[in-house]
Amino acid sequence: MRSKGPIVRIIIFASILILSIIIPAIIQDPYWTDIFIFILIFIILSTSLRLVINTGQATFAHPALAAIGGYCSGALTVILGFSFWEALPIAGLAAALISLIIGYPTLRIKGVYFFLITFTFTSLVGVLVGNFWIPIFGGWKGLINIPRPNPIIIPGLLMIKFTTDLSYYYLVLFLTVMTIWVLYRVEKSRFGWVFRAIENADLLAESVGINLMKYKLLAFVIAGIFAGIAGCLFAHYQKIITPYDFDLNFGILLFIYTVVGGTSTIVGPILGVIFLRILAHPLRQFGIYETMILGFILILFLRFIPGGLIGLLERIVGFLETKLHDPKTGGFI
Amino acid sequence: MQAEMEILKLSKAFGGLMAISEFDLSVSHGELLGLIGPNGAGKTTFFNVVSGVYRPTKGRIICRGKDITGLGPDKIAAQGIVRTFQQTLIFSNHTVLQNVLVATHLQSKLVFWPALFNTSHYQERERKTSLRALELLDFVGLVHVKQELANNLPHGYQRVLGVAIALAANPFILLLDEPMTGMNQEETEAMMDLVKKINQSGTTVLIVEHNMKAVMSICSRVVVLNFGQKVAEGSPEEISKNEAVIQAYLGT
Amino acid sequence: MDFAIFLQATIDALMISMSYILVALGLTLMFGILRVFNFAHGEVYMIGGFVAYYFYGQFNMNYFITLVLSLLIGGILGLIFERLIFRPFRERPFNGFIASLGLIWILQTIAATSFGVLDKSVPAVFPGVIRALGVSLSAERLGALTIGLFMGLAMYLLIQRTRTGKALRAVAQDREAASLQGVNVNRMTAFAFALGSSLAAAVGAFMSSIYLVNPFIGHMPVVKAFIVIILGGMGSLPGAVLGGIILGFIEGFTAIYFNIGTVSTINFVVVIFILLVRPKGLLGREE
Repeated sequence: MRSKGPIVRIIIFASILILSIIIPAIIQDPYWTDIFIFILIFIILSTSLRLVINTGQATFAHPALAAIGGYCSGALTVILGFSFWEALPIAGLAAALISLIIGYPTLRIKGVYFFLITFTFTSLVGVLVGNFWIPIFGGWKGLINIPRPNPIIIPGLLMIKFTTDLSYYYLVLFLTVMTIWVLYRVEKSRFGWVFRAIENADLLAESVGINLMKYKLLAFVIAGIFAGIAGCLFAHYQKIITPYDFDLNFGILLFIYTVVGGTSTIVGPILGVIFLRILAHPLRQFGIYETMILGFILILFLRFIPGGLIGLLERIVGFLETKLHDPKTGGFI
Repeated sequence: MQAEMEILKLSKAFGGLMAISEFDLSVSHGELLGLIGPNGAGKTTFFNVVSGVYRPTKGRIICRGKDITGLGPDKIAAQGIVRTFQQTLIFSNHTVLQNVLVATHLQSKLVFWPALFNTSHYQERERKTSLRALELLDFVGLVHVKQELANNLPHGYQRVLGVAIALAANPFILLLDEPMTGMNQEETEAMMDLVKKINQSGTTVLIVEHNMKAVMSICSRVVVLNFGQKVAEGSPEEISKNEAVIQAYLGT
Repeated sequence: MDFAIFLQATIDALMISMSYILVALGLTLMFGILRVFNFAHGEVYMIGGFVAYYFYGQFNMNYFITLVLSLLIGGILGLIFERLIFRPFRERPFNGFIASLGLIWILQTIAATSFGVLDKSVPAVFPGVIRALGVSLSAERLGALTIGLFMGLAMYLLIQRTRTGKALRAVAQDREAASLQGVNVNRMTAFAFALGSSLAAAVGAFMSSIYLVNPFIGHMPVVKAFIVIILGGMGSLPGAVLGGIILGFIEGFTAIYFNIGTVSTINFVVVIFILLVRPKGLLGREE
């Protein structure tokens, strides 16, 4: 069974991919397309957040970095007339640059304080963007009229427009799959081992020559790029971005998705996002109590299911494997 | 002949407490040097200073002619000085083989884009590194548990793994901090053999140990520390007869 | 420079400093004991504000009794949080402070459903002006400052001069050693949380007449407290005082001589500056 593992995983991944391509096209309901787009954006954010958490540094900077990406891209397209395709990578780079500037002096600080600093940073970025450079960022009302991406035209061959939500969904889907692929490859590589070693026993890692700062910063900056991209995708979807979009509540929500999903594998946060955002619909009927319920879910998971949904699943699969595996024949009963 | 490592008037103070005071030591290539002393004598502090975990308050550390005083732990490891830890420190979530592979970090330059795209060149390098890791595991006697999760190993094996991790970083000076802690008779003898084997293969070894018998039987030279100062230095025979040393131990 | 404005600005600055210091002290206390921050500390402040609104504002209870009540309620909340949320996470403090993020939403929702989301104002306790040094000063702000100073003094005496305070400091320094010396670590932890939270609630109460009260006012004080802690140094009580004074004065004077928007930039600049120049904070110590 073990040797069949990777093939099973590829089949599962391919099926999910095919489903995510087909289902929105079949449903064609703007309500659901909206939900799917947000699920994807949150997947980008939570999987990149996981990268940093897995070097042992919990960070609350992600909302700020996403805001930077979104505002950067919004301002470039609205004020300076850049196209989406130019603004997107710049947004990612801007977020990466800020990550570098913030991360360099602070990542050497112990975990809890680092989290506190990033928490403060996220709070302040929102305030800054709301109060300053109002002609550019639009103040508290936000930056409006952010355009959808220009069509991709290959003369004589094809033209892809992104004006409809559904077409935008496919763009976001493509970028999300890219994000997952990059993060997966990073994790499987030596870099991933170094990150895990740092999280596991940083003292030991140092003693064999691993420069902690360098790798923590690397993870932080890579995650920052994706946060910026997510922010940009958000801004061009909503066509508006306000200081309230990436506030503390957003950060708390992101953590809830990541914790509930679990961080042991890259599938964890994906599960968390999908589970909770689909669950959010029956929860919505509780109105104002929805956030309270989510708060309880967070605490309950931290207390009783710290491995998250993916941890639960791994335990179930492990349990099933031992139960169903016939030791004599080596096959399944 | 140039000393492998020179410790010159090393001092380390914590607040008002002088943990190490004016410590001089000269280590020659290929030595198996034992460092002993009563509890609190400053042995582990000494290792912490040499390996860069602490900055010395005064003094210098010269390694093969190069001044390495004040460098951080990862830079010191890059200079070829690697230490093990008194507490059992391993990468618990990795397998034994992965533990050693991570520790070969210094030998393989980590390049981003080939890693991302898993190029065949990258895969080839990884394969070579794996082979070296397996050789190392064979050398220390852990190759039969290479796929075991490090956390699941019995205590004795975990401590051997700690030594293997340090070796994987390819040091020319190995600092062993009480490697025989918590070991039974059999495990202790196996560790003693391993330390001898490591030394014979050309690595200079400094070992801190409480197990007197072990230190006296394998070390070529012994240095005694008490209250952060060098009390005596010499062959195991000389040390065991030294008045000041006996006093130091009886006095605690 | 008009002396009246200058004096008022000074009073404001001191008042702001005291409020920041007291909230930051509570956080630092809790961190010193359990190595964890309660991110919902601001919500305790908010509840203190509502206590003042209802008991003093609506039921006309004596103001000082209201303050005592806010201290008590804050203390009880601190005990509850410590027991239910932070103690179970003692082995993994990281999980503890993430859990306190969830607590923020829980408390905000409870407040919103119990008290409504609209702004509420609490009548001035010391209405009008006081004439001092030839100028008119807001009596309310002077009153709030005085109350803050008293609390600060009380805190100082409690921590430095009493046996309980000594025990608290011992546990913060070294849990095991303190336990070996006979200190009941669990009780001290509960006490630290109760003390810290009661401070936050009391500050919320005496600041309620200066600003407005609604379920979402908890966010700002805790962010300011964090800035104070970043500025003054992690884990340092004197650092919290120093940081509070610096931030309070910068803000108090900027608010009067410039505008509110500038205050937020100042916050940002201060944080970035400290992070780049001295990340451990002014009085931060080696951990």
